[in-house]
Amino acid sequence: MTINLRVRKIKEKIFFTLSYISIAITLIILGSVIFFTFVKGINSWSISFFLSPQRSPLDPNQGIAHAIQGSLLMSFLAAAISTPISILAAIYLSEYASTAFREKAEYILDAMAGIPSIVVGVVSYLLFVLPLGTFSAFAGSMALAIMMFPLMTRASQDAFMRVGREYREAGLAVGLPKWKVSLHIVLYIAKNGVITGFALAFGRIFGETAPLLMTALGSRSFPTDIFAPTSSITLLIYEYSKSPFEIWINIAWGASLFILIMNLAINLVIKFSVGDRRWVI
Amino acid sequence: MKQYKNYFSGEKIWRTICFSSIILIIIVFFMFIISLAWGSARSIYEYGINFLINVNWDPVFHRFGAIPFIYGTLLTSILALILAFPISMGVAIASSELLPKKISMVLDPFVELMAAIPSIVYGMWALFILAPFIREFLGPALKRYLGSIPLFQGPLTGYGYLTASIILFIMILPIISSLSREALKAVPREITEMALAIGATRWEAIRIKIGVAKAGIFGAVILGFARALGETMAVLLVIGNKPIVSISLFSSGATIASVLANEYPEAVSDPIYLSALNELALILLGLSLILNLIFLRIMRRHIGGKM
Repeated sequence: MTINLRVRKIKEKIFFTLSYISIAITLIILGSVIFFTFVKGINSWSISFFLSPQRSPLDPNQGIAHAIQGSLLMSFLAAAISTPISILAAIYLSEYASTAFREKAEYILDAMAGIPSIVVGVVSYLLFVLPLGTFSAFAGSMALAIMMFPLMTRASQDAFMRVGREYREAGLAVGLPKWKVSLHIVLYIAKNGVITGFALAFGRIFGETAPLLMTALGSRSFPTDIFAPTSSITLLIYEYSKSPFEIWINIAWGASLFILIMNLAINLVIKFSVGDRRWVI
Repeated sequence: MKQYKNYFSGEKIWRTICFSSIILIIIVFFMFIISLAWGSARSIYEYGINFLINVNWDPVFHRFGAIPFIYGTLLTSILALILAFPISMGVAIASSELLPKKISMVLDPFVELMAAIPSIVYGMWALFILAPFIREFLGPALKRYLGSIPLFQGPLTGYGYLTASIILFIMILPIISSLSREALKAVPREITEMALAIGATRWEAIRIKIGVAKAGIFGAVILGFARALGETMAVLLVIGNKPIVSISLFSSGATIASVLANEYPEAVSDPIYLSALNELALILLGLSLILNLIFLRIMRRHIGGKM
């Protein structure tokens, strides 16, 4: 009996130790990614890094300004297309839809959120690059907007559905039509949730690479035309990381650090201010 | 309700706008299937079932077989799962059961932060830190101790299935661990109390909890698998991009996602080549939709919807 118990206690110790080791491994990996990205990236940060475009691979006074502009252009265009449509769709799901319709739509949205980003790229190529005959910032934005749809819609819908029934009833009781209730009461109360969803989705598409490979393609100069190939920070990292030039590789590290800090900042601010848990999916 | 709608015509317009928005998004979803089916029609017509059983991929001579990519995708994803599952469970158990609440409240966000890091950042790290590490330390060690197994034979460059699997493992670790943790937390307290009351050790009580939460944990694994299948950039940078089938984990290879990213921009001038790549994208879409639907089914049934 006592030997049996001792064996069980030892077993417990072993598994608990393994469990702590798992935590240690995870933290070491996370620490290593952040540490190396920071150490290797911070050296290339300079004024010209943020203000100059791509130059010849041997010129030290070059930067990622053209890629930052491209990324901002495509991400904001995607957000401008996707946000209003997603919020309106979310209002329909939470305020008007029948349960049966809502559940089906939720299935589709969740499945859509799980589609690999590279497939979004291929589809966007077929839908927006092939008909227009050119790789373009527009096609890149559409790819990113498509990625944003399910994320934004589900986040907004969740926020709307958390708004208490009594607020809606109060609005209806004073004679507001339902559309004003959803716009002025539900959307207003749920605005933090919507903003959180937006920030997370924006962070996601801002760091996205794969769908841009076959839509925006990349470019060496500042974006001037929305219907021309355009660079993004992530495309630049990919291109430079494969190059044999040390200056470019260092710039890729710097750009990687930039993207990492953007994402960590968005997520940490949200995590510790709103306490929202849904950022894994 | 009906009567009140007639008083406010704005209501009808608003409702129509909202309804069109959700319909538009649903149409976009179905456009995935339609456009990929349309885009790969030529390849399906020309190669038929051969596409799925041919091991050669040679765009120059228009020989297109998907086997190397399906093999690479499944091999790296399954290997990543084998690595990620025990460690994720360890993390989930430690943070939900073992660590004091104050520590796990700080720790959990950091583990979940890993899921928010863009894949190109992992790619840079894998290419310049992880791959050399595997070439210099992990690979030689595996060769020395496990070299008799064919999996660990062959030349070691640092780029290949093994490196890709390890970076995939890192990327799915936070997904599996945080979903498993939520599944464990959803288990009623009484179950642990009962187990402890009849004399179980803490570990045995946790094992019973895992048994109760196994549907949710299975869902977490499925979602991790789905994510691993579709992951592109990090894999693309370290897998070596060769359309071959090799038993050695040190060998270069390719996955469906990596070949799409690598070859799609070059293929645009050749309709058959492009069509073959579209068919690969269709296969990847099918795989990930099936896995995601299984995951959603499990979550709806056992956890009750909220993720």
